[in-house]
Amino acid sequence: MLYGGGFGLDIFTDYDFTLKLEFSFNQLGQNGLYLHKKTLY
Amino acid sequence: MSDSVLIKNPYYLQNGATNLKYPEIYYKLIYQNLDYNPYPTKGYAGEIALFKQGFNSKMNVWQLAVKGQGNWHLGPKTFYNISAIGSIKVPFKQPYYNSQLLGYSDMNLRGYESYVIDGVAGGLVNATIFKQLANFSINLPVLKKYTSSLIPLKIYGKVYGNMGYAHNPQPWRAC
Repeated sequence: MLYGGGFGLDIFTDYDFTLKLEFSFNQLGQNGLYLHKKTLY
Repeated sequence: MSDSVLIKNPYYLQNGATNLKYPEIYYKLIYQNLDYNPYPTKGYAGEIALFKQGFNSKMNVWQLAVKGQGNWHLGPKTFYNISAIGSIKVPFKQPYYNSQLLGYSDMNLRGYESYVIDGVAGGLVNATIFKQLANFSINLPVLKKYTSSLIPLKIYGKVYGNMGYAHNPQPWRAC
């Protein structure tokens, strides 16, 4: 089993676009700041 | 596919093939009852899909994929989301090409963004608490030629956790 977590910000415009800024970490002690485009799932 | 790929990984395609053409058929059911599909804060959504790829020994996959999510209000402008995605491919004995799982498509396991994890069965569960921190518009006159110059923005802060699992009975095929 793999575990991860984190915190971040979602910046949402009314034009159906969301930029996600996320600081994530995992059970291996690794972490990082990541940018994503939000999808429904 | 280049021969050099096959030298690196003889299991890239089934039976050492270097090319592949196959048909795909699928049936998908989608349910959505959300307050706002692009950024839901309340409601449920789900999806179930059955795929069939290929009809011969070069490509033969049955895949069942399911997705689901729920969104609830916890308090003023504070929300909670749980989502889950799962997939299984049979037969389990698949070449590397058919073994993409975590890290591909919607199967994003946060904390493992730098990785992809192969497998023929598995999934993940996500839980997120998020709160609206700001709701405002910025004026960008340069956009007026194309659309409204007012760009509405909402900013949400969030904390999340997730867990995932991948079952790969033939890990050597990813070498």
